[in-house]
Amino acid sequence: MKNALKTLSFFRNVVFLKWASQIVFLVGLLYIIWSYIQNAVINLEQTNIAFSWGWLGETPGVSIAEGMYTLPNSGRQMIQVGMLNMLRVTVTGIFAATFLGTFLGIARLSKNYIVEKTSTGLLEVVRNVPLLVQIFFFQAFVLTFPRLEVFDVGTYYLHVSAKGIAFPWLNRQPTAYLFWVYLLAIFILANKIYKWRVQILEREGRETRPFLWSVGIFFGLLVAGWYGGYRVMGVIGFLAGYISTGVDLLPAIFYQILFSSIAVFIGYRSTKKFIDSKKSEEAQGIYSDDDYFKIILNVIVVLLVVVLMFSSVGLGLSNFLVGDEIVFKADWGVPQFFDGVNNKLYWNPEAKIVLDAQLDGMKRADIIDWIAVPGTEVTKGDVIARATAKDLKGDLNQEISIYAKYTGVIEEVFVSQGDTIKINEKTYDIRVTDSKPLELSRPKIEQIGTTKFKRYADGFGKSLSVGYFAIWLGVVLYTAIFISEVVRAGIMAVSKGQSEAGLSLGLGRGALLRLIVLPQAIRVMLPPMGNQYLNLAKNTSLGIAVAYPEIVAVGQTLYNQEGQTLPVFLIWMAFYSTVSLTISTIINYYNRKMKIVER
Amino acid sequence: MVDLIKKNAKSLQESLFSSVGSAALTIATSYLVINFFRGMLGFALTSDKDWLAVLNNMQLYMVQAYPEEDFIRVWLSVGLTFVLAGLSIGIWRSDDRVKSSKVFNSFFKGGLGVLFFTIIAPTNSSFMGNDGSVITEEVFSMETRLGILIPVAIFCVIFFSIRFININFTVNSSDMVFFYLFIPVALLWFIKLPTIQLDQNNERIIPDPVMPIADTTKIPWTVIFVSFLASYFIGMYLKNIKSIKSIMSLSWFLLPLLIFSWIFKKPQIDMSVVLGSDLPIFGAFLLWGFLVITFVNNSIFKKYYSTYLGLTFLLTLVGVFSGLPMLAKTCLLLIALFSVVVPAVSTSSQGKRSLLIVWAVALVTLTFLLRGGASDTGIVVPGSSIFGGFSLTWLLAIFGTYVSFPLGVLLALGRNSKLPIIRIVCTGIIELTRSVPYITWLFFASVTLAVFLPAGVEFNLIVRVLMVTAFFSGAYFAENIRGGLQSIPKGQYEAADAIGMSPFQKISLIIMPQALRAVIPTLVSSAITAFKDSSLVTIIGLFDFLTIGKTVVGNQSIPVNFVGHDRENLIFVAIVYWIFTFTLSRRSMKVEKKLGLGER
Repeated sequence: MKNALKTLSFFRNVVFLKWASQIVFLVGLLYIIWSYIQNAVINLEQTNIAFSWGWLGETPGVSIAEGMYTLPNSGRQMIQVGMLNMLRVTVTGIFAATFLGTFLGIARLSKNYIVEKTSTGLLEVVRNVPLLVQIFFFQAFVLTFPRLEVFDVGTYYLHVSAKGIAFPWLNRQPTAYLFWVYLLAIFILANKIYKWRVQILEREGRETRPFLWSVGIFFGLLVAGWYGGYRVMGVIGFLAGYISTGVDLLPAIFYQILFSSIAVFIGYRSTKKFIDSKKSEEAQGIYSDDDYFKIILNVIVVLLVVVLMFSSVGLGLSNFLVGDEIVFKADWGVPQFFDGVNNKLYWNPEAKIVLDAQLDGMKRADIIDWIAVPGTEVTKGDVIARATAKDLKGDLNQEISIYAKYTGVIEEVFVSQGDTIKINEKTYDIRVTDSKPLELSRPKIEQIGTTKFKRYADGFGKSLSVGYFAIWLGVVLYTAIFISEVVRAGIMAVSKGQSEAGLSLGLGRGALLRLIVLPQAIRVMLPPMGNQYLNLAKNTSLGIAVAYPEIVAVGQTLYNQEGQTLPVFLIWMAFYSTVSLTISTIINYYNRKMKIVER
Repeated sequence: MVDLIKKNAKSLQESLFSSVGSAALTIATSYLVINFFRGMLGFALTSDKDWLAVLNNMQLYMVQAYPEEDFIRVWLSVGLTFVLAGLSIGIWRSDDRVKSSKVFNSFFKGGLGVLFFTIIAPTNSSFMGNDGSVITEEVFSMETRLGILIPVAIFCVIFFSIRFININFTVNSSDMVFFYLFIPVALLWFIKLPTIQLDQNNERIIPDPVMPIADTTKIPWTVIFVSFLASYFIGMYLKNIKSIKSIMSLSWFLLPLLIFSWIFKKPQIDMSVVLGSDLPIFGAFLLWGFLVITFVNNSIFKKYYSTYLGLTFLLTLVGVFSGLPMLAKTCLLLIALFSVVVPAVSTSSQGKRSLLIVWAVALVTLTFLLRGGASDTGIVVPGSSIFGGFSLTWLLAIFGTYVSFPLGVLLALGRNSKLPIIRIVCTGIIELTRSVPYITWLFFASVTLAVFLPAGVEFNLIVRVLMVTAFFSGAYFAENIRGGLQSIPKGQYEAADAIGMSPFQKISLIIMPQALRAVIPTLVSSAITAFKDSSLVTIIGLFDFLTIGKTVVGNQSIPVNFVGHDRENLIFVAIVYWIFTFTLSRRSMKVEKKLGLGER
């Protein structure tokens, strides 16, 4: 018997073949990648544009049509604006598409002939025309509205024109951040009260009205907070000041050690858990070569992180976190973050005042004198400086007064007597002592200077530009149609017996939907719904076709400006991967919560 | 008759007015729908719309810059497609018969639709004039309305009352296709519409004289229709030949390659290169394949077959990255795959003979297509490429689907592999490619890809876009195939192992057929998506169908001034996309039903 067992030569051993082939594959792949990167390096050298990230700190010198900073002062700010614009469309679009899609999905299942046929017809049209064509349609549709010059300058409640749509909006005052934190806190409190009352209801059986309690407390605290009570949240800013001074003292090496030790800790824990699981009855302590691979991979990853942390990459990262300027012009790191929290979330938060459209078409003004100097307390509407305003050509000299925008204590003045201030330039710093967190503003049409063009005034109401309108409508309608299909499939997946049983118990149609059909349907609906949300996030990239400055358009402007195509592409990849990952994680979390719990 | 009306009325009442809420919904929706259509019709018919901008520019839409003297090639491509389609319909002729009542019913419904639109069309419509004032004019007068209403009403009444006369015959459903297509072709000869004519000074004659539309193209379309019909009959005749279906499938597979590399392109063949390098390579590989087939059952060769296979694969790997001509590289790849398959098939001499024929035919086709594809084109165009307009849209869609299939299969198999490194790499590739939107990849192709190519190698923008599209579609399709792979019960894998199948046999004979059958509908929907997504190349400046509609036609000022008429063109583009996508998706649903997918 023993002679029949010939020992195999080692290159016929399955394990060897397996790993040898994988290593050959990996080496071949890395070689291919390396050779292409070499090509890239050679080609970039020839064109004199080296791959660098320095442009993030330089002024790009272009203006963006809409967004947080229309005149960004660094490449980084420009990318921030692009990202925020994209997120504006994505987040609002997801909510709107879900509502519309659910409504359309339920309409498709209706017994009413006309409603069903109309929604099916809409679905067939929207689904079969490319999204880009639909977006162009909506753009053409908005451009058919009357132009702004037909109307006089004035204030409106809702205005629609070829420049976009304007509606009233709550403007954020300096104390708004405090108010939002307060809102979040009382929302969490109301949630906890709801759960507590439901617990009592289930335990003791008496009616404790959890919904009424939680909603009542929420609105009660809301009203109490609106008139000034929300400022108790200023304690956060107060503490942040101390944290900021503390964190400032940390050396750069602290973060390197911190991240390395976190990596080692996580690696150790996961390896230990894996080895322990191998000791269970199922596995019986048998390690296959794949298991060895897992352990070795863990160790390699931890080593890589540690090496990375103590190399120049890690040094750069920790310098960034400490707050020293290395890569970017403006230093911004952990101490600066806490400093910012201190400023914005203090009892009397800080606000920097810039000169805005108050000047009514004037672009510059020369300060004659400051009436209110640092340290004085002013009320909103007080005159704090007198200036001579000049229009675009510099001719007209008109004496104007500069008014305080908020009530508070003036901390610092940036422009002194005799200086010229321009629009959007910071003029003074004020510690706001009294203001409402949000203020209603109505849209206003203004005329820029003496030219013919009218526009929607900044800061008065909110105006959606043509580009935003076109991409938002296009993307929301398109995704809503696909979501309606998902909803329809989900509701049809719940077996008919369930609704019949519910009806036989005497439940009305509303309760039937809410308690029986929808919980089961949501389980089926969630993964494809998450997929549609990802598609929505990626479809917003078409904003470039309608001149909406979201991240793809902004990136294109930047690389036309600087010539750095590869870094911009890497930023795109990182950003979209992050957004996709975030959406997937949120959907997976809800998916796990909804999973069928087996006994 | 009265009962019929009563029954219809009752069902109508139940569905539309069953409760107060339902009645309110019915009224609200009907109001919205009617007003929407009124608005659309009014928009379409006002006099500031110049629909002739669309009709006059059909050539631009279809092929953009293709020179007129080579148009025969375009017609040849279209004709070949239709002939092949006719053959296929004949060969795969279904035995389903359509009842005459159903046909008459569909005519009746069509007539009702026309009636509906005629009734709700607005008489007056207003638009914004050039000076900002609102001009109202009559677009649909009472005479035209009655002129359309009365014949169509009679038409509807005829087809409604045919129900009561017992005419009952059935028509084969494949025959119906030709009947439905005959109608537009016949109409081409008879419909007269105002067309744009230029006088001696190259100025537009106003009002536009009425002439038959498609004057220049009606003859080619008629010829194509006649050959379509003829090939249908030939197909029916050839239906019973043994391997005709696989030959047809192969022809469909080769048709786009033939059209885009030979017919559309008019390649300039350098005969010296053909004789000097192509024929020797072809001969060498033919000999190689012949030797493998002849000696595969030789005992010595059998013992060292795996060594031979390994050497061949190594040679392929080295050859692909070396400087051999394209034909040699592809033939190397082919012989490597061929050698894997040969032992399994060549057990009988008949099998060997058919294998030899297959090998020879494959080599001939490959040489032919590669030589055509790699040669320069003889077509002189003012732009940078011979593809534009609708032809570019089809090129992108077809190429995307073609290459996404093998790439997707490889990536899906890699992702499901048990080897950890391969699994991690394939998962990484798929997730990275899918997380970024398509437009970003198009920008990558247009600006960044050139940086990664070796110095001196420069590809046309269209070629770069094709490369990136193939990659992107492959990654998306891999996810769908993965779904199909996961639907196969584990027992299949275990049974294959129990019989002692090698991994290659297991994948090709057991796993892949089941997985692919499950993902055919997804493949079709992926093809439809590729067709729709090809419109995105507008943004990087390629002249596809949408670009011509949106920018080119609306900016034309010679020979006729069409500036500002971009909305009509956009509507036309949307309608064409809709027709194609809707037909494809309907067809795919029918195929799905026939294959019985999803039913166990």
